[in-house]
Amino acid sequence: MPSRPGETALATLHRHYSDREGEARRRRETGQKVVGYLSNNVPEELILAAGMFPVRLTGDPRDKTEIADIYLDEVFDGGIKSIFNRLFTGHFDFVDLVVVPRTSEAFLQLYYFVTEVRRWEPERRVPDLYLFDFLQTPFYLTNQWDRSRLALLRSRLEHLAGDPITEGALREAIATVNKDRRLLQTAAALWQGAPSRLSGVDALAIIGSGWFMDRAEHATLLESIIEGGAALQPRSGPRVMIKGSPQDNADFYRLVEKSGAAIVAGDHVFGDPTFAALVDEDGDPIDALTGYYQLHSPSIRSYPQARQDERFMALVGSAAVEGVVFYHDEYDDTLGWDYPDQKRLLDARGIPSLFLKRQSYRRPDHVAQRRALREFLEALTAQTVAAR
Amino acid sequence: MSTDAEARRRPPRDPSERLASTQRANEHQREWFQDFRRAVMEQSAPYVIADAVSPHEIFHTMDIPVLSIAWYSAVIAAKQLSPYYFDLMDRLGYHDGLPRYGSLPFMTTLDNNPERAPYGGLPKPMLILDRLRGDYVQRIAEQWARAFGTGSFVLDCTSPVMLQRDWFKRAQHDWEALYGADRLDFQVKQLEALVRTAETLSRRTFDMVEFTRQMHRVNRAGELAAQARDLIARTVPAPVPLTEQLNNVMAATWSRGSQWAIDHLQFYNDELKGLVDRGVAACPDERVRLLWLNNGLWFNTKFYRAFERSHGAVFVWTMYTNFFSDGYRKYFDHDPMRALAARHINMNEQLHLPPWMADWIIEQARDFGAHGAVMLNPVGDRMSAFGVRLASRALERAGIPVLELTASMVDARLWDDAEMTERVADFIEQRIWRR
Ligand code: SF4
Ligand code: SF4
Repeated sequence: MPSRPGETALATLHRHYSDREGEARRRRETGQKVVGYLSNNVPEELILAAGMFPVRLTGDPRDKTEIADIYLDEVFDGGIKSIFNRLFTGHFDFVDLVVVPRTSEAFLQLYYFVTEVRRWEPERRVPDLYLFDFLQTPFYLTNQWDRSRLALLRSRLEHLAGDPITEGALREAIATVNKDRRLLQTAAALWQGAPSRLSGVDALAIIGSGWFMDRAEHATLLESIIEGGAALQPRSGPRVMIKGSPQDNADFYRLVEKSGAAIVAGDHVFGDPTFAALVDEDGDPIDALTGYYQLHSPSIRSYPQARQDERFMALVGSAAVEGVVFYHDEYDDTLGWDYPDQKRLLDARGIPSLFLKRQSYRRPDHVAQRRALREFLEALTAQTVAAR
Repeated sequence: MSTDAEARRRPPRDPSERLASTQRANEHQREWFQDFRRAVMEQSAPYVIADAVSPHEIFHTMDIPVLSIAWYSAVIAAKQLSPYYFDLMDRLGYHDGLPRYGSLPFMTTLDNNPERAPYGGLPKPMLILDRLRGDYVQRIAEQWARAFGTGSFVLDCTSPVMLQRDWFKRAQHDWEALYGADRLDFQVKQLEALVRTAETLSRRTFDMVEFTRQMHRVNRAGELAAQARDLIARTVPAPVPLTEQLNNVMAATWSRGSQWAIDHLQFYNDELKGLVDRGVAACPDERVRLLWLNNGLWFNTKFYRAFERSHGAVFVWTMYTNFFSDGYRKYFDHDPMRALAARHINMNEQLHLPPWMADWIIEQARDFGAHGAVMLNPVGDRMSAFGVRLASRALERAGIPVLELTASMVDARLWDDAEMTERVADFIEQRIWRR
């Protein structure tokens, strides 16, 4: 399904961002195998090199969660509940395998709960799950362990594809995804740069669509967006970063930008950190992938935090961020620990921030959010005007 | 010695009287802490702050004391100091939805007021040790180490692809197959790295002979814990309430590997046997046997006994009753380090995840002849709340009625005693008596 006549590259990316399973379904219909995965900690390069179609699986706050509510505790993240429900209700019936990485407690629990609840719901058809037991502490021993997990995943994928993954195919897949990440880095200037010319909502779709469509085609569309970038109108409004829990949909971004802010960066696992680093193309491809996913693919378990905070502050600086909105999920028990340090770092640079803690995934309080944003943005505007 | 013999001969006059073993266990903990402070404060001896489910054995072997985070948290809560530290957390920007149980000791460091902290607070440790079960403990370890100006060591956690059934029957001898060779290999390497780190920091040498001795002693102590558990399981009415079980088994768990733990559990067993022989019971009028599920209610252990007089209902089992014997024992022929690797590699899964949590509890319910279970569904501690719903369902399906009580494990301010008492009473009357 190429770009439709008259459709701009940006519109095509938005279309893929909202119709997340469309391309995967089409691929499946043509006979290609489809491998779903969670997070950005699963090496999609391996899936590509095996000749299969990788697609990132996400939840949706609008979903019903009738099966999840029977088995999962209240405190599960909303996004996880939604994915769980989708697995049991046939929503992901187009995938041949789901790879679940052990890169957050929530994913790990999801894996075990699905495995167990299958026995309780034998009549439901649930896709096969594969636990990718990958760790992210920055140590030599961890790297060795991860290398062995990558090898296991590789043979599982080869088994599914019915063909071995050749080194040539692997190098090509790495180059393909790297090229797309590089173009994202360039395109990011359109929202991170001064002046900013693309909205945060656009940025989310530009980044996110890459997980739901053909990578090479994504790259081509990026090129045309970059090309037309200079002609776009500069945006106004205080330059804001969204930071914290996964923004797996654009609802909150839309609300923030409607309130008058210009989102210029998103520091979360669906945002700007996902393309900040590249896989080494020179060395052994398995070593290169291991190192990349261990150290550079962002997750809640990235460690140590001090290094993550340096990266965060670097992005605040390079994107000339004027204010930061922290957005933490209702049941977050983790990111909240980082907040006092991060607030202190921002205060030291005179950058105001707003903390929206314990936000519901399914039923966020939009009224309260709007009110908090209005106050924050008014103060921010006054401050930036005074500074200019 | 004579007091021991006396204690064994003399039955408690009333059921609220504590066992001699319990008094000894508490005394031991107190002395341990005083010795610890003397050695660390006055002689600058090294010590380690560690997660409850981490390999303390390595430091015990090197004669380096280990302060267990969970234990110190419980002490803070028991001294009713948690409200103060929770307020401090609020002031420092750690919001009210964050897990608070494991963070109380960290707050005593940030508070930096030795007068207020239990036993004068924690001095600077040689190391903070954590196993990365969830996603946040590494954050606390990192910030805490920074506040102390010391280092942290994190043991990363691999996960089994399959949680095979009946872990509690296989965990003692068949652990290689249960946990998987590659995971054990990796865990051994991490432990070796920890040994080397401990040697470097303490300038001591890890003694393999002593380590092996300790590992055998843990197994021996585990056998004694199992013996006590069996005796309580088959004795109706139960000779002691839960509170007595908790103190004795937990003290031995913290001091596992020592001769004290063995001697103590032997003494405890002897005392239990004496009670059983003389027909002493926690509640002579026992009609209902209950399990207490999930974490303990540390600030209000009286609650465990609140239904004896009114309903003849006695709590006879909690995970602490035999997690030491089922979870800690690891028999080995020649490789104690691998056995130690097996000990902590899946503790959390065993206690909290489906199907392991429910499988074990259902087995306990049968052995103890339990009529029902009360499950604490902890607020503000997601790691312990995961799995509660599915475990309840599994128990109900196995014919064991379950009451879920949603409450904080540490925050007494959130506990409505009258309401909770009524709910349990109701549960006993409606769901157990009527069966
Ligand atoms: S990206 Fe399309 S053909 Fe594809 S993959 Fe989609 S528009 Fe096609
Ligand atoms: S009881 Fe559970 S939460 Fe508590 S220390 Fe043990 S494993 Fe951890």
